[in-house]
Amino acid sequence: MPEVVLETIGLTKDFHGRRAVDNLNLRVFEGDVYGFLGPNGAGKSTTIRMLTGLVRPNRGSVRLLSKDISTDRTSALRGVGALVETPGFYKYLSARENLRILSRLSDGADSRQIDEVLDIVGLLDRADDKVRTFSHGMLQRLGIAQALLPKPRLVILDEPTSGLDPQGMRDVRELIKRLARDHKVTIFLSSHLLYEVEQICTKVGIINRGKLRAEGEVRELLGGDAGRVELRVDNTAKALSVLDSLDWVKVTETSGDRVSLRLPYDRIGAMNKCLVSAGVDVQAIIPQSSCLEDIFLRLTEGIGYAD
Amino acid sequence: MPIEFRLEISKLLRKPRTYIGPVAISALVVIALVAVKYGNEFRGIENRLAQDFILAGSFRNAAFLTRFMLLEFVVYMLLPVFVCIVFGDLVASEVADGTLRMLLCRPITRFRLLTSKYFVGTIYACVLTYGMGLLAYLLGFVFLGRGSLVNLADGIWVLPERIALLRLAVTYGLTALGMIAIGSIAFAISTFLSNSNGAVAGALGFVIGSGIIGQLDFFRWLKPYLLTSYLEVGRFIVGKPDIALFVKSVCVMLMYSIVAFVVGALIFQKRDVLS
Repeated sequence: MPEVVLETIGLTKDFHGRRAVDNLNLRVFEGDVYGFLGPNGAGKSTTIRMLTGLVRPNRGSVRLLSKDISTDRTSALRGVGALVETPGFYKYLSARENLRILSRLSDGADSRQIDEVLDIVGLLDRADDKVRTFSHGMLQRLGIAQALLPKPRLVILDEPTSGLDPQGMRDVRELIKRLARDHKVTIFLSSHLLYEVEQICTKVGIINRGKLRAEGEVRELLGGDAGRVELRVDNTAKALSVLDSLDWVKVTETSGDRVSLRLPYDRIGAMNKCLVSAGVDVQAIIPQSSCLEDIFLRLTEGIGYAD
Repeated sequence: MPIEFRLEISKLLRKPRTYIGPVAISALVVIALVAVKYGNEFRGIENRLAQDFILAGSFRNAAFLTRFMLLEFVVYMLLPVFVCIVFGDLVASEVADGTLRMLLCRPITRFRLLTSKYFVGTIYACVLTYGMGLLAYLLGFVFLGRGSLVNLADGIWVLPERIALLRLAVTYGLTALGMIAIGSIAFAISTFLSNSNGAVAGALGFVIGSGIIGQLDFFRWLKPYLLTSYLEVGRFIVGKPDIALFVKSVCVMLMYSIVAFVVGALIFQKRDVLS
């Protein structure tokens, strides 16, 4: 079983009597790309700040790479790279100088390594330019570069594509995928963008109002191999009687000439054959891909957004 | 030398605001030099003195200019402003720029980081204060020449050059200690603010407020505890120095510095970094 690289136990934080994070239990294993999903104000950033020791929890603990951050902060953060919200750099220094300052605090990162991380994020050619001349997207990439400096086993990223244009978002997502795939880095990233988490992550935790509402493999949450399909048929009653006889089909809703159902994707052809054989005229089979948005809305509907 | 300390020094040297103080103080020394050399006021005093005494050389010399720079306005207002600009910026600007987050996500302790910043601030206060004295002496040496220090307040005192320089060095040291104490207040305030201007204003407000309170009869009992009561450093240069008062001044300034640093460290240790 892979090692647990990030674990929170009963993590709780109150701000002025308002509970921002409530008894949060997370486990991230080596090799995961874990998406921490939630609406704005759900408690994502507070959680990430507690993970990195910037905010002290009222209760509970955080363990990074098996070290407790509140009792053994320096050991816990060794081997961890983090980008918390919009990265802040010394504007009067160049990208390289900024990284040099941060690298000296990251046990043993040398100038070769600085060039390496600048290359990974595509900023090597701007390394000697003052940070004040950088666009938001470049700052974000430089933020990721500094997170990679300690040759981390775990990278924690808070809304890494926040404020980027579509191309910038795509670049950062590609970069994250590359890090996980090529550099074997475990990634914990927060986002309020469902599409982003669905695209990048292997695991997801959904948080709202400070509580973890769901957690699991993205594939599992999306329904595994089963999919939702909508049929349009000429005779709904006849179609329903055929579908009822198929034990691998589950009808979820009917409306006029439309029948919504769930079934394994690889059985769509067989179902169609059965319907046609029974004399049902199948006018359309429309796959309704279940997306994280459905799950997210289902879990957060009625709960509302946290302030 | 700890890496955090070296990094803080290099950051300080790269910040434009670090140089506001030295540039302004240098300009002030040059202005003072011109005033001492060409000002009618000083020439008039010298002429009046020459009527009663036989003057060998001029009292307007390097030691006089160095002593002259410890004007009340400089010690109570100008130096504190420039020292607070740097001390108040050490933590607060890192919070405002978001760089503190980046630093604290590294495997370093908050205490080490804060201590490094504080020591950089103290070095700055010393360099600025002694730098002012040194520049005044060097410019005075080149443009006015050397000689004994003649003090004209509270009677006429003449100090041989060697003793004058020694006393000036000690007095500048006391001034630096006073600046560290004031800077420490700005530093303590900056540990819970996200804006360095607030820390500068807070510390200067404290100095001005202490100065005002020290002048009020009703608060006379508070005077021995006020930092501003010990910033009148010029009194230790001439006459028979009051060693007990000097030692007390050092102790009060050290106490202010230590208390401010400890308060700042406690706040910083517990602070949630939210911005």
